[in-house]
Amino acid sequence: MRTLKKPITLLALLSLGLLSVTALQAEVTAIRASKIFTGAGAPIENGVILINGDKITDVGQKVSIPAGAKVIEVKGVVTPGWINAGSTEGIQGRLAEEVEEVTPEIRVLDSLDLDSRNFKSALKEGITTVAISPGERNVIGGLGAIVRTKPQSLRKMVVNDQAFLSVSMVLSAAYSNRSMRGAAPYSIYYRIPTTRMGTVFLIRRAFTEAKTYSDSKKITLPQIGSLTPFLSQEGRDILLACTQGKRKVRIRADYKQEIRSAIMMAKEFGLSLTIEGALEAAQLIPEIKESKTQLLIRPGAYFETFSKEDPSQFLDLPKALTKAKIPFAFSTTNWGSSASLRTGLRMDVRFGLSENDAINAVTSQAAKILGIDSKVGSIAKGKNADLVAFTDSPFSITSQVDWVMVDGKVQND
Amino acid sequence: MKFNCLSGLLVALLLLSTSGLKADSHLTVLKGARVVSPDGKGGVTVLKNGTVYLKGQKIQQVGDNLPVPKGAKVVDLKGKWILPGFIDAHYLSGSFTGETNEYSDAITQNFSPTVAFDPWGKGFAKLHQKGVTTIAVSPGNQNVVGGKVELIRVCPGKYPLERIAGPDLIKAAVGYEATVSGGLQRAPTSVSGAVKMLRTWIEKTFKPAGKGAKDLTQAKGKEETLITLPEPKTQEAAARLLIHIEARTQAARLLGSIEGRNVVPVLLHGSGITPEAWRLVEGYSHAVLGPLSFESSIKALSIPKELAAKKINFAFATDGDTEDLLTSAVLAMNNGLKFEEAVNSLTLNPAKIFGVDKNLGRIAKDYDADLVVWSNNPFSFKGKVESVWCLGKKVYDAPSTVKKAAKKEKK
Repeated sequence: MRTLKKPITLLALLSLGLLSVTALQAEVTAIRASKIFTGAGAPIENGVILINGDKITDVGQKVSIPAGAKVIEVKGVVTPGWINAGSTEGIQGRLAEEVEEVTPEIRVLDSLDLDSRNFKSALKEGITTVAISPGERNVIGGLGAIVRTKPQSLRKMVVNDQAFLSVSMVLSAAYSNRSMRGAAPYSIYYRIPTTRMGTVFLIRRAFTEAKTYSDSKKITLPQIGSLTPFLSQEGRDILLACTQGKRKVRIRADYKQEIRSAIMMAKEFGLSLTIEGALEAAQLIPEIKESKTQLLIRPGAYFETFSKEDPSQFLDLPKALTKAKIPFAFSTTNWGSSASLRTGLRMDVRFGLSENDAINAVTSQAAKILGIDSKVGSIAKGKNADLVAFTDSPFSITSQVDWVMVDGKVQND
Repeated sequence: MKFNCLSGLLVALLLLSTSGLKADSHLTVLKGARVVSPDGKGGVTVLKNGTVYLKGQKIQQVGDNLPVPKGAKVVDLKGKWILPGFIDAHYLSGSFTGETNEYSDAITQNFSPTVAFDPWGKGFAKLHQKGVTTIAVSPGNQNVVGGKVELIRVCPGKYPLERIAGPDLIKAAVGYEATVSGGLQRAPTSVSGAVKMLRTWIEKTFKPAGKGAKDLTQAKGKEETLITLPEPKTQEAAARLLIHIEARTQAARLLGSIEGRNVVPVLLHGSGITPEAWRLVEGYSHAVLGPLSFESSIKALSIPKELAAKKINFAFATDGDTEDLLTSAVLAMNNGLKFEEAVNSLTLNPAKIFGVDKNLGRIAKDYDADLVVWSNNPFSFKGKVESVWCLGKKVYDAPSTVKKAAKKEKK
């Protein structure tokens, strides 16, 4: 018996050693794909991506695969994980806190159900990151959040819970507050404003108040002209950070008047501006470019009945923005779900947006606009290994998502 | 003579009263049954031939095959099972329909649902047959701070209700229901608003006041468990805040504002809750689950097992008359919950949640004599309640037909 035991322990030790060696090697993954869109520059044909752990270590045509690395062959296309730069998915209940019109201190993350099935279906479609903003019923709706769609621990899912301040200049912030002409408001709980004039006034009033009372130690507050202060100190601090460029401001504006007002306001208060919606942006390209405004546009054919303009301009918008070198990404707010983003983009590609520019818009550009480009949005050394493999060009009608990789791991379901 | 007569009367009266006292504190011995009780360390002690001495309202002694003192009243329970009376951790029924929520304001912290509670109700009368001896009568989910939660000993037909003394219990809710019930004429109208309102209220109400709330969504710590709250030193006296949540972000934000204050959070079940959400509260917080039913998903049914593995103190609740507390535990056992964990979750765990674990939830010396005698193992669906003892007195005796049927089944 004794003589038998020794070889068995030796064998066990040996096999353990072997196992640990293979475990070390398995951490390096190589992806060999016939086409790689890196999110920056031209696509790489027949390239290799090297991944160590959860980070990308190398990418290129002439990258050699180390011995023992796990190799994944992709016949189709690999892109960075897609980013939906604007959505209201996963919010439980009402999208804005409608008891007040200006609620900068409300955080959308608090009403977000991270276990919502919307995020799961988005992940299956290759969307690994989503920015969620409060609804447009409030003039200043609160702080938006950036979350990752893979279900995991809270800290890993929440990238930033106060990524940007959401402001609404579109008609829904005002229109439904109206009662009949000449009649008194029907309830004591009536809301302001009732017109876009009122919306702009309210936003300016809020930012002015924040700038005037920037000293939080002041307890008694004097009036601004005839107006009494109406914000909480927390709200003022948030707005003040926006005027100092420390926090991004996202304004929803669709028509050219709204876009122009947003740009003027950003100039007045020194805001770092992103415009979401921007239906008629094609007519204001010089102004947008001069003010360095970033745009989040709706994907695909979006037909807006309120606009007096020629609807074909909406389809030409992405092409026009690319030509003018204005940074833009896509947002699915008021349009559809994250999971259908690719379906919408097919239309844009069909109307002249190049495949590479479309992928850049949903990856590297979106990451830059959201301020998370140091970690995600492109395939480059040191970036998170969030990747999507498609069976064909993502915009071909028959192409499907082959697999989605998050933090270096292929997601199985 | 008159004096003598009077003194004689007095002596006689004294004698009578003392003999009356003797009769009251007369020892009752429950003998021969299998006694199952939490041992206070997460496990269960089982006495195969258990003897329980009841004296007054308390349990005097418990042991295996103890001798019976002379003059004691003996109840032979051979072949039966004795368990502590179950505690239902969240009970909404028993009031007028729809009157568990006060709609005029979102914060109604001093309201009490027991003022409208009906001790003559049919559901309340049936609780003894379900093995339940204590319920936590609670306001509904439609107010951000709904009001007081009160622990009641089940006493059908008795008024005033038998309240059980303990720490302050308050009900709060931030789920979807709390945001829509005001018909948009009352704040909050969104879940974000409800969370903010509750955070502000917690900061104002619980000591130390004025301390800024920590934001646990940004906290640093172990990767998988976001929240590891230190246990407050004065936990026994600290108020309990039962919070109805529906998503884990809400749990993170609210527990962050509670950290360091003299209040113990209890997370109440919500429809959208997942094991991921409960994992946040590892090691410290209390949770109330249920009701589980045959319609619950497998995922929901396996949550109790996961909580037990994470050593989260959890209890079951029925929300009212329509569900059975024991069924929740049995369904959880079918999905991996162990016997001792199931016993604890129905008895000692809820007692701990409500801060009454020195009096309720165990069959041990100096505990309240709240016991249920079962004809068989209650977790096997064969066990039926034969009698219920509350504060040392038999308060329910099953009809003879039930007892006979149970006997037949055993044979």
